[in-house]
Amino acid sequence: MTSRGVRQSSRGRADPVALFFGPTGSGPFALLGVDARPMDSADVLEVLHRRLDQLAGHPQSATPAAEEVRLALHSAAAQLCDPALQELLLQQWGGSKERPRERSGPGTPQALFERELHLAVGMSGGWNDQARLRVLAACEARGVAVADAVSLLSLRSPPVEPVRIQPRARSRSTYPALAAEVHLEEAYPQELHPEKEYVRWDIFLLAGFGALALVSVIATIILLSPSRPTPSPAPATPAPELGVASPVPVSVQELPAIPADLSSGDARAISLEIVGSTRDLATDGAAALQRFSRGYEAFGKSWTMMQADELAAVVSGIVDFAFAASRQDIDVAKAITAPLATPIGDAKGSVRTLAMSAGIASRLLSEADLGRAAIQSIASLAIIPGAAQALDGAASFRAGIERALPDIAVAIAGSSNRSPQPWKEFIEVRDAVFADRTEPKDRLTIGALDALLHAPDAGVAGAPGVQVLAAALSWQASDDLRNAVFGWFDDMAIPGEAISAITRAMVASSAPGIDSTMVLAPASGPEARAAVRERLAQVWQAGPVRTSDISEEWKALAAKLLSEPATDPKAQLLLASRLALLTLAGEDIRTSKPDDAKAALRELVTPAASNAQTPPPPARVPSPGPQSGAIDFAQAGNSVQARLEALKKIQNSSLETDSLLARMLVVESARGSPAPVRDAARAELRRRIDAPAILLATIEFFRQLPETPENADWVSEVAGKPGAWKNRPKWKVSGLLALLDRACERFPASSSEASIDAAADALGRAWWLRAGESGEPGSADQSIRRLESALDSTTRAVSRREPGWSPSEIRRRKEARLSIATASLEKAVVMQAACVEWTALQAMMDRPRAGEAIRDITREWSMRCRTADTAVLQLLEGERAMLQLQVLRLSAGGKS
Amino acid sequence: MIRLAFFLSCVCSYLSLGADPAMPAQSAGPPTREALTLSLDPEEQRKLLQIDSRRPQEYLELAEDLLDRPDSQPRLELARDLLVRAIEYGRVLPENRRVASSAAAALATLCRRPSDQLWLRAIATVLQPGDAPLPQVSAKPLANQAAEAKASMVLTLIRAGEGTEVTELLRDDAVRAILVRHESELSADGTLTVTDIENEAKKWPCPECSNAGIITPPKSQHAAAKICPVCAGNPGLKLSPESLGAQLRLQRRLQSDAPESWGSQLATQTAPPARDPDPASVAIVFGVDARKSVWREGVWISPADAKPENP
Repeated sequence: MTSRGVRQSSRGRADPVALFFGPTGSGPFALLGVDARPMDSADVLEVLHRRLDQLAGHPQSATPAAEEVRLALHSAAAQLCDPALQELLLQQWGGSKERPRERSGPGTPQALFERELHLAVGMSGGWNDQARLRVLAACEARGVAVADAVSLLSLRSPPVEPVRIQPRARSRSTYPALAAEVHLEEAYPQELHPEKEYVRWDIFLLAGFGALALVSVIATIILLSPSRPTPSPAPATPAPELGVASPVPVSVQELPAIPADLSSGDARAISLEIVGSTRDLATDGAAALQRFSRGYEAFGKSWTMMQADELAAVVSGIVDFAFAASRQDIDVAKAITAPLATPIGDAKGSVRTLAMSAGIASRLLSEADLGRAAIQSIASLAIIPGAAQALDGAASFRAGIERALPDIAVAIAGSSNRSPQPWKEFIEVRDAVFADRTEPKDRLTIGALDALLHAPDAGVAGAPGVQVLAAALSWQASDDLRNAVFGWFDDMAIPGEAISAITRAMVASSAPGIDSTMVLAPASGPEARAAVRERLAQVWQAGPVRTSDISEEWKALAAKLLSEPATDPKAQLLLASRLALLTLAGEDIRTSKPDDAKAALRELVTPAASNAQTPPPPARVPSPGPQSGAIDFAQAGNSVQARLEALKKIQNSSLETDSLLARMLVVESARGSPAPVRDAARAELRRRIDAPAILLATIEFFRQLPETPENADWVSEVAGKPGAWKNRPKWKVSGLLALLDRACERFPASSSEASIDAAADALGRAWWLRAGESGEPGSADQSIRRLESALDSTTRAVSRREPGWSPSEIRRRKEARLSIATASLEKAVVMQAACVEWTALQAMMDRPRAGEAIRDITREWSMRCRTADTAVLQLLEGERAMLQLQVLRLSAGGKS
Repeated sequence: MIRLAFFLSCVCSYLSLGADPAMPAQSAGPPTREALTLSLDPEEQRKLLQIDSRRPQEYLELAEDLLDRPDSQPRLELARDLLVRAIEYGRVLPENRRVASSAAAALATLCRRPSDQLWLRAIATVLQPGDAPLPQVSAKPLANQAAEAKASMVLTLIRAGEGTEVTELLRDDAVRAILVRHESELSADGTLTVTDIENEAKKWPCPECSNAGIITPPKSQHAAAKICPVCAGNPGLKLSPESLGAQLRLQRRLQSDAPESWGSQLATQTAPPARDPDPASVAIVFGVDARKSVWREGVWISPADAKPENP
């Protein structure tokens, strides 16, 4: 990992290097906090320690970001410890051309050992398995406890006490792979001086080539790996400090600067080739491009075998090259995308290279700073054969490949090559990208199988490929697997040989419930297919839903509702709620939940929404007449007794609460005096609390209302919602809102308002159920947000890539629409639009070959929404589109 | 783009000539050949004859040139047409989406209505994901919140017949502006105006009972109290139940951003259809026939009908 790597991997968040060290430049020198100048290993280690100390002193030194920076520091130090690499880096980062000053020797044994450890970590790209292996080897060679070595590395803490290197006999048992290495030398004969630590570095020969056993061969490969410190056969030179013979320090300095043979796929050799080509750009662009292409090609063939850190290092080098080339107006697009234009053949590595090229192109397309010309050039060429759209930018190499894999599958299926080799590599790439994520792996493989099974010559010729793909499935029962397999069984256009290959792989998988009698002979007829399908359905507990009665009933209802007109907003919302319920029932049928589907259908037949409550009559405020109780109260004047009697008379009467009486009761409840009058007024007000006139009078008098707890009590009762606000000392702002809320409920702005709200509740309930929520539904606004969130989660792992239909694009569109929506109803339309798009994407996954039909539905929906004159009509169109998509998902055979 | 940004500030002062996305270009009519000939310099004319839909960048650049000197309506209208075409031709291919995005951002500044500007800025962002943050409806400043609370109070007071206070509050320009902006929500049928409220305020308080609603004679007269014959015990602006409902909803909107019921939004027509920031709809909304990408003899024509032009 380079310093650049740290920054690139941190897209979208704060630069961790800047967090700990403040703003720094680019490159390993800047990361270590020094100018680009020649340095020897001791200098490098010194500045490394300084940086590590600085990092350890930071309050966030225990965070993952700190760990990331720590590893980047080790990596940078390792690069600079390698003279060949340092020279290249000096040229790249514009350092002086002075030769590194020589120190008086190789340094103390401890320093040498420490450098070796740092090299081990740095050249492994961080503290990983490979680094552990190398550190273990170094400890084994020096007889140092591993824990001490780790401490010395300061990987997790500031520098520790010097490690005392203890002599001890070498053992072959510590690590099997080291055994072959270790046997070349025996125990150190020297005793270490108590005061002067010293290490005897044994001279040993390289392991005995072909004569060794397999284990020895593996170990030898590790030994000969250029990135690994290799014992040198050079004679020991005396250590001046100790005055005794000291072994020649093992470092990469003795290794060739650029390994000649890239074909072995050695990550470091490839890195050096690419870094070298970046350097060459300054002198000879054409030669640099040629050299880059060599390294790039080698990378393409071998990247699946690399460790994550090695991969990151090479990708970082390639990105650096692209930036450097862009600065010099050298077009790298052709070199980067060349594998995409190469026909998929039998040649080993062709799919691997194709995937690598897609990953690199996507990675570069995400680099906005690369320059418009370079990006446009890459974008114009970054198209997988047969794909409808060019590749998009991706934050990482792997993400780019992940997105491209569905198109790569289609490209392989569409090629004339029917050898299983490309499919084997496809699976290899899949595994390298998805690791142990079974679900997306299966989904991708099902998509690839689907593409291959529908290729023109999927029969005898395609069967080997089908066998490879089917064998790579986990065969864990899932909706995707069930739907796909049943679809293939039902589709008589798929040859028997291909179905036979699938059943063979299925049986070989030893999946639960599957036995050898389920293998279908290649020449089997429709009856045999149906019989195996039926047995599979039993095993997976998924009946042949598309032929069941419930499915037929659902389809008939869908056809009816899809053509049902609705003119006014209430009818449109009610129809939308029924469509939503039917979509839910369809989902239940699709996922083999017949009971749930029946319940949803029952609800449709007698929908709660259609019981639309008759709206309450609009509130009426009677005008005051001569009998108004307020007149008697006014007549009482200032006499307390008379006023109390007037209030008592009002209490005993059945007079309507007119506006005058309401105002009197509100005023006296708020500030009546003395207290008995106030209390009597409040009692009477509470008796008439539901009167609309009381509500309006409270609003009118509200600004003069003393802000007392007692007043908060009765005001909250008038508002009908005893909210928490009434207990606050300053409650009037919230109190007024509560009163206005209540008034809006009591005084509708139109006679249809209440019925529209009831219909909206019905739609909200249907959305609530579709979102998989239970309990009391929230408002329609809340429900559609839940549904959108649920659909987003379900579709998160989508790997299939359709133009304009990636999850990120759907989210982006949703955010863009939300940014210009103001009213809550508008926002609900936006969230529902996202739901339509998620549903469309799911349909594309289920029915890859129905892409055009799905796009037709969404185009029609989009057009209707654009011309709709109300938001409610847009909602209805959204529900229609989702039901149409559901019909498509459940359509016979699922193919179009 | 820097140049464009600079000159767009000049264009903003020219907004009376700005396009309205809701209004198709045909309504204004294309710039006449003569007017354009006079307003374009030879270099601009040469570029106009050579632009090609395969290179949307050229449409954007020429629009920028025209907006450098936004001194006539024909130039602005041509710039608008060029920007719409830059969006249309640029949105299709990934490598040209940045061009389309820049064109949409430029077009936004030519629009008058904030909602149209927001729509075009959202389109610009959709075309170029990952760069600019999405435009947001800005939060209300505190001063505005206070003015809105006062505007709400005006409505309560006029219903209660507190004319003097209403008149006083309407002297505040901010309060008045808010009520004018929401004039269509002052009543169910949208016919009540701020002027009507002002006129109504002059009638109140009740000259007979001072809004008490009851006339109480002095005790010495031994007469019974009675309902005020002038205001009938009900001082203030009289509203139909629906208009009262509309006013209460407006008051609630002015007091709070909390969501209101869909029925309420529909009844008061405050929830327009949601707009989709779909780049494909720009040409349709502006009434630009994107099939005609070539400029010849003062009009846009399709490439098939065009002869090569020698500048």
